[in-house]
Amino acid sequence: MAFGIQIYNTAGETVIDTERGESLLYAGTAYTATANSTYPKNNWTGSKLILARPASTGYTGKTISRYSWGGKWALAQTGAAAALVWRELRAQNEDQLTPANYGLVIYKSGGASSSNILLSATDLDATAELVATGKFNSTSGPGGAGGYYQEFSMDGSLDPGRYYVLATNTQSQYAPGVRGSTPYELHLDYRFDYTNGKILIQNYFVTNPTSSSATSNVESRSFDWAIFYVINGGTLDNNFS
Amino acid sequence: MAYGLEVYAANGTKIISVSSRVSRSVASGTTSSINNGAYIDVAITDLTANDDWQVFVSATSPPQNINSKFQDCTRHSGYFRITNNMGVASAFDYVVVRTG
Repeated sequence: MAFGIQIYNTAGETVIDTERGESLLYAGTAYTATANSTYPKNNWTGSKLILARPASTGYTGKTISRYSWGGKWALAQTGAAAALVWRELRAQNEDQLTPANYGLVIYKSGGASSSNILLSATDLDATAELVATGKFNSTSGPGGAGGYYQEFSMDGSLDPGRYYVLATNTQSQYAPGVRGSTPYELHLDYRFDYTNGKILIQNYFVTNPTSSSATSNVESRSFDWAIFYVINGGTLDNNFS
Repeated sequence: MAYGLEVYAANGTKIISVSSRVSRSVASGTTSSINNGAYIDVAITDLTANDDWQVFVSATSPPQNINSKFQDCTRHSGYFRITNNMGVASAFDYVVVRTG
């Protein structure tokens, strides 16, 4: 390394590396959506990744996902959390920051323009730390109406309201079975279980989901899921504590 | 604190600790349209298949049916691959994140 700075965490993972030139991702402003049409239509920039969680522990057992029928953002229908909190996962170099005259600012090569910012400490109010990641490819679970999933256990000593899931590449679909068709649900999504301190990462398709004859199949996908823990500083967190 | 980076917000909350697994933005964009059954490889310097990397992909024109997530995104050395099995052609938005 000829110039610049490298910082690692206690596990040896990179925090900042000026040669790599990767800008810090942080959690943007929290918004609460209460209906399909507002998630995350209002206040979404249209390109940033979306982190989301249920609006309260009262939504335990509900799913969080993108319902991408026709490419539209919305809450999934029956069975989904009807109110949720969401944030954008934003890169600091895309925010046209004007850092203060104090504190730590790290730029990549190319000069002190906002698009070269890798980290600006004084512009950070909320960070989002990756706490778990994997693929939607579990074969574990009860099958039937319970489906197939991986389990993530929330740290019981932490605020459960700070756990967010990466919703951008997920999907739920609920077909109620009108006019004699078979009802079904598709889950490539997350289910929050605050009662047991779990987040389930689900991947299954189930027919007749509310009957005793429910039948589910694994829907294995190779794309990534991720769970983040949001830490707030300068703004009041909309959490459960 | 023996080493590493700690960042405190204005109200004194520690928002980055020496053990934080920090996420960074590596690349983002939109692919050209991919036909059903086809794939596109996107080159990313240093990319690997391990969990230090994540690639988040979503179709820009998914169909209005159950196939709308029939795509895969696999990470490889130096590139990732998006395979479209949705039954219709679509471009895909992607964001590449590094956490290691």
